[in-house]
Amino acid sequence: MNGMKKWQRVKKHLGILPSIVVMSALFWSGIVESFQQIFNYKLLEKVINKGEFLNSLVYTAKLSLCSIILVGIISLLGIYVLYLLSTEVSPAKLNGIKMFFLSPMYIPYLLGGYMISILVGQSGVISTLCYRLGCIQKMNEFPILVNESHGYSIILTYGWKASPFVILMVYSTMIKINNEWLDVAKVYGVNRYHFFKEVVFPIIFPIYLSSLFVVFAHIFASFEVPYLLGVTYPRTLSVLAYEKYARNSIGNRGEVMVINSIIILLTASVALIIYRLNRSLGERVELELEK
Amino acid sequence: MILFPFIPLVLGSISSGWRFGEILPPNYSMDGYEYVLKNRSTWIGMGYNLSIAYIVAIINLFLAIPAARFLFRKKSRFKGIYMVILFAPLIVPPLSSVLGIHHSMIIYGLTDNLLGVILVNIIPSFPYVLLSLYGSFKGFSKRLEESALIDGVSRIEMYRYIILPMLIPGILIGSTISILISLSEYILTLLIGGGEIITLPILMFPYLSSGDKIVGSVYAILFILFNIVGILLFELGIRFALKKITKVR
Repeated sequence: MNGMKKWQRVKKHLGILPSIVVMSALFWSGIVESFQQIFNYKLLEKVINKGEFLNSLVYTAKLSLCSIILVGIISLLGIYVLYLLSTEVSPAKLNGIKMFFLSPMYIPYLLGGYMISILVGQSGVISTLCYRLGCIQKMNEFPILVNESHGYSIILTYGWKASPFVILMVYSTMIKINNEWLDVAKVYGVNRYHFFKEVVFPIIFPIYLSSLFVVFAHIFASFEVPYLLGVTYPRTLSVLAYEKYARNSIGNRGEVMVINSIIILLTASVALIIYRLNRSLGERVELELEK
Repeated sequence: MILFPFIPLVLGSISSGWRFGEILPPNYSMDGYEYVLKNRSTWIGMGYNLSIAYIVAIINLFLAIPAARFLFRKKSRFKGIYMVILFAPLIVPPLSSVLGIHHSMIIYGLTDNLLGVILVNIIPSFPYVLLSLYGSFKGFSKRLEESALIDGVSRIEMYRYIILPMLIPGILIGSTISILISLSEYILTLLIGGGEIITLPILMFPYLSSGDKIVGSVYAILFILFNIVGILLFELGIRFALKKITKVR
């Protein structure tokens, strides 16, 4: 009798078992292998003390921070515009406009980076416009924004591609806010800006913040955009890890694994922050909405 | 104000294969298109790309549907840890993990071939498929399943006639995202595929990073069109297949 019950319990897990096995074998074994090297303290010391790792870490952090601020600003503006439109335009039209705002999401990061580079590069579109307008006389008077050490084009690319994601996440929460509340507020002489500031924003804040953190983790560990648009020094952490590995896979492997592990630890801690945030803020919002 | 970010989108399409100098194009020519389309690697790359994306999408669906059913229906105290295991690639970068197993993959003979590339492409795309199925499962009462079981419907029949139809929107969205991701995957495919497996992103990359306006833009336009066509074809195929499977006689 007991045997039967146990089997029943195991049986219901069967559905998820293939996915768990595949994921563990493919993804988690990689993480475990990366971590194997971190207990080698001498190696750890060597990696941390060697100049480039710390530089790379700081550079990556700065880049990600600037990018996430840009994303935050652009997405907030986008949300505000969508909010204003939602009070005026029909739902069908709003959907169309929303699709337009979300279009960068369908373009992969590589292409996005490329488009930004032909936009703001020295031989790019904006530079050409400036030339035509007489602001600059020669091509190289236009500031270098691509493949340079401050990473402006990288930041711009992230701003362009990641903001729609945040907008999408926030939009689904925002749409639940009943427009009738706005009508009621208007009776009391509150205009749309105030309504947004006092009512809408506090409600969307948790999902807004969580999405920003998700994007931050993604940007921090991202490889393709910095590899495309970046320089040889300083490099972001992921690019550093990859290039070390590609150049000398057997010799450098230990160091690469350590760098990997640090990237994994950092992104995992961001994930924890998101989880905590969602728990505490999310619950309050749910209660508010239900009222 | 907000439209500024979308200028690259528009301009990327205008400047396809036409730009020559820094001033607005004095010469228009289709040379760029000729170069790209006549090149054999382009077509080989597209072929690999598409097959990888389709196979990965189907594998993802087979894995994710039962997994989603368990996660969003049954009660278990392991749900939390299962979710961490399955959704981790969304936050922790797949590249770090794959750099880790690359060594073992070489040993198992999984590099420089299609199988390895397919396996590796599952990693970033699977969580998204799972996520899309979540939406479909949410609006679907458990009672339906229970009452069907009571009426004596067999397991397979239940899947075919009750669960699958409800999942169609989620399946379509999930497969779209999965294909999008695997079609654009650059570094994972490059790393595991060696130089053997070529996909469009790998082909495009040198042109993109050098800022080449002509060939780069042609590839970009080609890639976008390729994506759209690839996704549409798959959707049609899946819709057709699902319609046949779920048709009650």
